[in-house]
Amino acid sequence: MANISRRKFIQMAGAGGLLAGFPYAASWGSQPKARVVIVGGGTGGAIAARYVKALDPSIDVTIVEANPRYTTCFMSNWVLAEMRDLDSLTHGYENVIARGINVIIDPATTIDTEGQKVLTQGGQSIPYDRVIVAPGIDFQWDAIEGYDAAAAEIVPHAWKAGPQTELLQNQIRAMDDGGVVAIVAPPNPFRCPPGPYERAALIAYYLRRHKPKSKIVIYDAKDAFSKQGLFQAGWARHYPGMIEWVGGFAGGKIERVDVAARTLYSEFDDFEADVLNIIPPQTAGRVAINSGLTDASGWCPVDFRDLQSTLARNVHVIGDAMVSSALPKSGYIAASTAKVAAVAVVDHLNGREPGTPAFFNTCYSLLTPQHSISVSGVYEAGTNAEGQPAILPVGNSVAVSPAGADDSFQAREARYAASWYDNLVDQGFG
Amino acid sequence: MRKKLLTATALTGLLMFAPGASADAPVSGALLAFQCAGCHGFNGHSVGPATPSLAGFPEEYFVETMMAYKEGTRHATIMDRVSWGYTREQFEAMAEFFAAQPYLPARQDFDAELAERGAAIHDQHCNSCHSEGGTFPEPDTAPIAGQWAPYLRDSFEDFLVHDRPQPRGMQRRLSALSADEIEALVQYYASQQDPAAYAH
Repeated sequence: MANISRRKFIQMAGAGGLLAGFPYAASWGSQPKARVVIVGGGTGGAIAARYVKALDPSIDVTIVEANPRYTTCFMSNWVLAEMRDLDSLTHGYENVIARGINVIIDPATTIDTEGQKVLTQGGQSIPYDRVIVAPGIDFQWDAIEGYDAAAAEIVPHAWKAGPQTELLQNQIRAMDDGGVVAIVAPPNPFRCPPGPYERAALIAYYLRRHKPKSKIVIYDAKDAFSKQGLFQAGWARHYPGMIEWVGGFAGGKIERVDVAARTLYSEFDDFEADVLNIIPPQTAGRVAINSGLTDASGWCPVDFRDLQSTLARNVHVIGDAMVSSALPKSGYIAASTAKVAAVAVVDHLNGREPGTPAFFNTCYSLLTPQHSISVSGVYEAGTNAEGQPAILPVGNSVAVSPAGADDSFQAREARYAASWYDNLVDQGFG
Repeated sequence: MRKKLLTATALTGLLMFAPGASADAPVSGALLAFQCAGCHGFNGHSVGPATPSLAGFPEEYFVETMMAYKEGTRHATIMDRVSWGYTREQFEAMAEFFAAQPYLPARQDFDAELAERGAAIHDQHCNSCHSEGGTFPEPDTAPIAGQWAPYLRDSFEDFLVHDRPQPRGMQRRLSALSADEIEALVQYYASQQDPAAYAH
């Protein structure tokens, strides 16, 4: 029996060796079969590029991206806790280019979906057969009165990582002990649903060590939030009395801000703070809006089977910019949808009908460097109770960490969080 | 029979994208497996030290592991929850994909002196089932050599503390080892980094 199994493995190893990674037949030719352009070289865009190229190397793949280096928004709360620096979250395109993927650093302004061209700020016009749109989010400036792009230079959102993260960190570092940090959490849907609450914990982790008399208040437009029970139990355990959450029902919805006076206004009250962090309401990235890919919700409607826009032909939208669905706007879902779109695009370009999609999410949030909580879920395309196409959770698979987990369990989840980051990023940038 | 089918698939690559696949068809094993990559690495080659590589896992071992998570017989933080969203048939489809990927040992630092000690412990206690220094993918085990050291430590903890199912003989041998001896085993497995050692 053992010998038979060994012989089979010899055959298998041979097959694996020949095909070096992907078990697909590859057609190599001098002429590209088709041109796939990817708008946005973030997590979703970089991963979509890698999978398209790996699935069919004869396709010419080009990423159009605004910045020469990309800083992941996920894990940027770790910077506030002084666990990581921004450099460790910042990734260049060297490995992407080495895989035979073209990278154009020039912001895409519009996608001409009739002419099938991506237009850039630098005046380039890049033709495509299929485009994958992965622009992430943009902000609804002035949805909170007084909070616009200029105000964000004084009061950071820190919801796109980089200089904004540094600005917030510097303000917290400069704050006196006993000060108040106010976080304004946005209404649904928004990027990284557990993010504001992890941020509170990791700012508290810093404050507890350096400015232990300080407080954090979260003013929330919502009445409930992601992993709420676990977050609130974790805050109480690790940072007793430090973090206060004011839900929408309790007057937490902020309508206006006076940036100079660092004062927030709800319908009935006003709140002063020493450091303000306003995470405003969001929409799909600007290029999606400019290209007519968004609906009244501000997000991009898609056919959930292959993530093709319902508003334009040969356009697929992935990640945060996709219309709100059961899928959270997480880094993992950016990757998950990138793969669904990549497989579908390669199928379409090879004259095949795309198969059934599969979606999966995992997301870790830290309460301390040794205590992480997670949510994961398996999703499928289907039909909702109203008979509309929808993405639905499979069975009871969408679930968070158990409430009664012990220290060893929580520490292991923290180790998994770091490895989650390594592997998630490596898929696109490794 | 399954193994023959797998070999054919890996060689021709035809099965994955059979023309005429419809939305009602089962999800391809490849797309299911792609979804694991965010934690277990591109094509199952993990670059994160807490999560195992799945590339080269024997199909039987992969499916039985996922079913153990689903049935609650194996300790988990998250894999039990993940397993609830899939069927045995889907695990079989994923298993086919991962089994067809070459196993690549993790590149990591190790303590050569401890590794040498670990080699002797392995030969004495472990090699009869985890043959060829733990590099051989027996149908009912994954290769243990070449995995990340932090993952290996967690795995030993699962066997010793969290009642991860194991043969009685293994339990007896493992519980007789000291913490230092177990760390020596971890260092030995981590030290085996030559990909050629895994090309059986």
